[in-house]
Amino acid sequence: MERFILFTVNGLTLGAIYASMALALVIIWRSTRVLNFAQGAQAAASAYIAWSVTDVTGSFWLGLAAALVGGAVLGVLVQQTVFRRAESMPPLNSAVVGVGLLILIEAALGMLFAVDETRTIGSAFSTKSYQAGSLPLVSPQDLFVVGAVTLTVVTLGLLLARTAVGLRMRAAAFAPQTARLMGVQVPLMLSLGWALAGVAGGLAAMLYTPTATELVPTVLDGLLVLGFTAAIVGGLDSLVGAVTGGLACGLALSYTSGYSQPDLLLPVAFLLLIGVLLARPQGLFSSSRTRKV
Amino acid sequence: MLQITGLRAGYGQLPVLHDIALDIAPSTITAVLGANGAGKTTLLKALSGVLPPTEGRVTFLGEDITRVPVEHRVQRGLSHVPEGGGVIRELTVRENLRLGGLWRTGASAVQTTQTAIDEVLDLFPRLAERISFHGHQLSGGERQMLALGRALVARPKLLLLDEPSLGLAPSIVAQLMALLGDLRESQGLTVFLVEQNVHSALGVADEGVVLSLGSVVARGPARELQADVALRHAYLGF
Ligand SMILES: Nc1ncnc2c1ncn2[C@@H]1O[C@H](COP(=O)(O)OP(=O)(O)OP(=O)(O)O)[C@@H](O)[C@H]1O
Ligand SMILES: [Mg+2]
Repeated sequence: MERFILFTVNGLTLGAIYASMALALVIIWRSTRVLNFAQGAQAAASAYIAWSVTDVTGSFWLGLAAALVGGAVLGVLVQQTVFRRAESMPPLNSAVVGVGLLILIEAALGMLFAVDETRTIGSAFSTKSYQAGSLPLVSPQDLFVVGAVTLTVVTLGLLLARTAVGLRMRAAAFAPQTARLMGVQVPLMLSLGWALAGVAGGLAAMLYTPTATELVPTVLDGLLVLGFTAAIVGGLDSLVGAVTGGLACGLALSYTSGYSQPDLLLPVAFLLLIGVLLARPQGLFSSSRTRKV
Repeated sequence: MLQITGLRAGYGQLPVLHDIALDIAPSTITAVLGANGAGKTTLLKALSGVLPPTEGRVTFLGEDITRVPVEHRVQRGLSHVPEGGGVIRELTVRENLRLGGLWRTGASAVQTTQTAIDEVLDLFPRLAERISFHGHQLSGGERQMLALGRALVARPKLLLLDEPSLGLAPSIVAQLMALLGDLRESQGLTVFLVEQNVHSALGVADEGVVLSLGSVVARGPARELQADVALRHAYLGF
């Protein structure tokens, strides 16, 4: 029982982090049909920005804020420099561009931040679990992770579904030509999407890096694969799908690695990804209707 | 209200429109006729800015708008309903309609748009019944209504319509033409109407323009065009 609670809490917490990375991928995919694999490195860069700010100011929260803002700025930067051209390419080409950019940014981070120093990002709150009697339940950090991701998803969802800006963003994503005829500034709306994706990626980085031993440029590569898996499971096109996919992956991986081998995590993730792609290429949550790219 | 001079446009190296010159008076309906591939859609695209002209000038309400980006034209009172309507399939009827008013800014924007939407729903009760349907759940005719309704939510001064009667039942086409006539009278709307339905279009129009191979080959009062047997045989096929 104790182990079951532990693995469940762990799975939900990790799942929330996967969901955050999945959101970063889904927001871009639905508006531009680009699979932005560079997001892993962009998020790592956000984490380095956070580390630098925390190093100077001593405040974790200023670091977190810097990661989110930095993620947004990086997202727009990456779009304006690289993906503006790649947006009109077939998805396969832009995916390759994304992988190239991933490697490039990680190399740049490696040069900027020499390996002579061990860098870490601490957790926002204690990771010591509250107990019910002798049974450990959740830690403050777990609650923070789940709360932060929930807040992000709900805010994003409301923004897209309920506001005029959200309607403009959706119109720009679904039908840029028509949107322009309606007076929508399409490039601006797409940039806003890249910025929001950058925020989601930056948040994922700040929640995930404390679980890693050290901040290195490639620290989020595994999370990128897991976020991608979650996004695919969720159908790539929907925010709700990304969250459900994230939680499903988190739980599945937590149980399998928990009850067997911890280092089975990534292999199991790949198995899940391949399984979903074979069984239901359009994802579990996407509507079956196809859309012309 | 709309002056077109020396207008040329095309796709890549391929010129389609040659030296078009037209002068459209306010509160009139102009029917644009011509065979398939004559350049009617291309002309509308050049006027709305979707396809920037290679040469020539478009003046709207005294302002040279030739180089004004598409997204800045709706706020000047120019709305283009493209071929097929351009209803966004992933959005609901309500959202598509709201989109028509999104160009408005300022404190009263939301209220004005809501009033305009209510008017459109009075005009097309069918859309009111399907207000929460998604674009892809509508019939072809309902989609055409939504496309026109969405353009009306913008309360344009000049409406560019590309084959709005496509896929509509004859009785609905008659209603559509009557509606355009009403809007001209009640709101002073100016309409530039591309149509294959020559009879219905000339029936409601004040003026007619016949395009052939990208050039204006005839223009004049709609009645005269309708009566010109030689012209009808040569270009309009009846
Ligand atoms: N996107 C495009 N790229 C290249 N050529 C095009 C394009 N669209 C149209 N054309 C060409 O331009 C010419 C005029 O086309 P246009 O669509 O303006 O005709 P139309 O009068 O609207 O015809 P229809 O009645 O069939 O709608 C045609 O010869 C067509 O082949
Ligand atoms: Mg046409």
